[in-house]
Amino acid sequence: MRIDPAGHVPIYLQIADGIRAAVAAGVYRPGEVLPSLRAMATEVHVNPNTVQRAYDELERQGLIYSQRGRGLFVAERGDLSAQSRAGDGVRRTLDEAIRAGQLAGMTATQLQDLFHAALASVGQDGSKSS
Amino acid sequence: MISPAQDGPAIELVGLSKRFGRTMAVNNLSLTIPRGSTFGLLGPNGAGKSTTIRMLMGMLSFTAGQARVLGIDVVADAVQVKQRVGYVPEAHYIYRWMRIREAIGFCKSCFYTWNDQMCREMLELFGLDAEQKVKHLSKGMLTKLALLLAVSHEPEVLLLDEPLSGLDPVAREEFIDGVLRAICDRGQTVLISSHMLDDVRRLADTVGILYEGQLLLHGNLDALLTSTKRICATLRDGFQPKQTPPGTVWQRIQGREWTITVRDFAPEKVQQVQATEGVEQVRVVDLGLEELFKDFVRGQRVSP
Amino acid sequence: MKWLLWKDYRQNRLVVFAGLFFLLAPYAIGLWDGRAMIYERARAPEGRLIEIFAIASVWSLAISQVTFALIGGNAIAGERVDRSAEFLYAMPITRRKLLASKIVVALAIAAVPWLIDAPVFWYLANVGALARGRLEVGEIFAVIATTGLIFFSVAWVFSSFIASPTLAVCGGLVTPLIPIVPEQLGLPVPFPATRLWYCTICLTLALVCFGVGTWHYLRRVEP
Repeated sequence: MRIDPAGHVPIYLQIADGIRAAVAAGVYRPGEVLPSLRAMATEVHVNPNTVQRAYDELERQGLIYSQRGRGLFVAERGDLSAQSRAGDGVRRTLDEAIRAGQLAGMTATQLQDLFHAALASVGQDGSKSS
Repeated sequence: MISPAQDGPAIELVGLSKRFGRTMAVNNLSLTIPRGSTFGLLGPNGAGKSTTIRMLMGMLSFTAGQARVLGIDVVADAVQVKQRVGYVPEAHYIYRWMRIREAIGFCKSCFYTWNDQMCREMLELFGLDAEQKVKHLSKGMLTKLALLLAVSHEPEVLLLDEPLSGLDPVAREEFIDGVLRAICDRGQTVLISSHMLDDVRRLADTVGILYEGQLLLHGNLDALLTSTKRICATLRDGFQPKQTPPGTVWQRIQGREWTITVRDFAPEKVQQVQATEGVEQVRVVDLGLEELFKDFVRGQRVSP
Repeated sequence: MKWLLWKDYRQNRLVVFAGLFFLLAPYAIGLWDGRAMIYERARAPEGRLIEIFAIASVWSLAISQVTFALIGGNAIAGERVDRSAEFLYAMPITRRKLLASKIVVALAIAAVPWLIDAPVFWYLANVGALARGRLEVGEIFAVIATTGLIFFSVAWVFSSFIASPTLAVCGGLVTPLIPIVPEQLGLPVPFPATRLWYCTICLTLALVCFGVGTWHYLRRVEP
């Protein structure tokens, strides 16, 4: 999970998106325990309070639940919920790309063509062909 | 030891001022930092960040005002403050003839509490050799040693004065890891002044921007980034806008582009800009910490 | 306190070496001077040998007072010039404790010549016949002692106010000239130029300077 401290997306949302993507990809499966606050904070090099905020957000969205004394776990329907919510993160990235295109003076049609081209070149497994 | 106020703020500055000759290095500064938070003190060089931190440590006399750390008045009992605060200065003057283990022994004898195990762990984590003399240490290793000495006596507050300057990226990461561990383990309050905005963004939950001894703004970092935005407008040829929306921090007109940075963003402000005569297109852009910082400072330099 | 004392000793190590040199050099010179007599003990007049070493011990004591100036000058200004005061003042140690440690180390270094040279001289004075009387010798010791005190105290007060140990030491070394030089130049002086007056003035000045220097050190906030 890479955090971009220079961008304008709040870091706790970046962490939440990252965990959501990991759940959707099967890195964390339903019923499994998530890394502790300390472990996550030192891994992504971020203040544990921010990590706590990310966890709170995910708990609020129902992706994870906490068991007192035992930590945070991925919810049973977590993977499906994650995939649907993953759209939030993708949408944010798309919004940024569209804004950048608009600033460059591109029309909606041009942006659409660009999107289709990109979709074609990036394969199903996320790798870029050619 | 029973502290006078267990629940009070970690750091409290009330009307703090410091004069050097004819310059006010710190000018009527008031700030409260609650326990457990990490405060990023930002500001251009000469803004008064180091001066403020040195005053908090009782190493610089006050011209006016008060400072309390963990409820203890700094002027009345600086030694007690130093017992409970870990300080990493910008420049390090640990005795150069001492070996690392001697420096540790010296510091250990000064404090009531000392965590030997944490000290050993950090020595290993930072890759420091206890037998090496301080004069043979690089800047990065010296900074890490200073952090080790500051953190090993289990302070409740950490004051870090530009600790990351001059460090290579690996040393910076190791230093930040060290600080994060301390925050995770003991919920310390941290005050860090730094120009490395990326690192401040990672570490801090609250920020303050100091400019010429005064606080331009301070508050929760995420909230500030969300509520401060840039409005980019295209102007028709020959038109000069006469009014800016309330809460304008900085504005610039370059060719046909009019850029305004506003705080406390609300849609009405965009509408106001759109309604301004001569404005054609309007876009809203989010800001990162570096842009926020620059715009606030630039805004100060332009206005009287 | 143990670490503090060790730190102050280490900071003044060069001064200790200088002190050892001042202490031993006159004896070395005496040894060299009387080497022929030592070889021919049977024929050499013993009185001459005793006299050489008695003089050496007095010289040793006198020159060793310069060490006192070095200690005083280096005590406070030394940690300001290498900026180790910045590190020290960030530690939770009271100014009084820092002061106590400095004074203990200063006294320890200053005591050594007195503990060696004075007994040596006393022993030799009892064994052989000396040209000067006991009282006069006592006066000479008093002059040496008060000169040492003034060296230290003036260097100490300079050291407390400025950041240059060198200037502080020079200030200390120069001060005893103030009562002496005008009289030597033939200028009128307000007091009789006797040893008693010299000792009194030096002692008073030394106490005042030490007091002012100490008071300022305890009060000052900045390293």
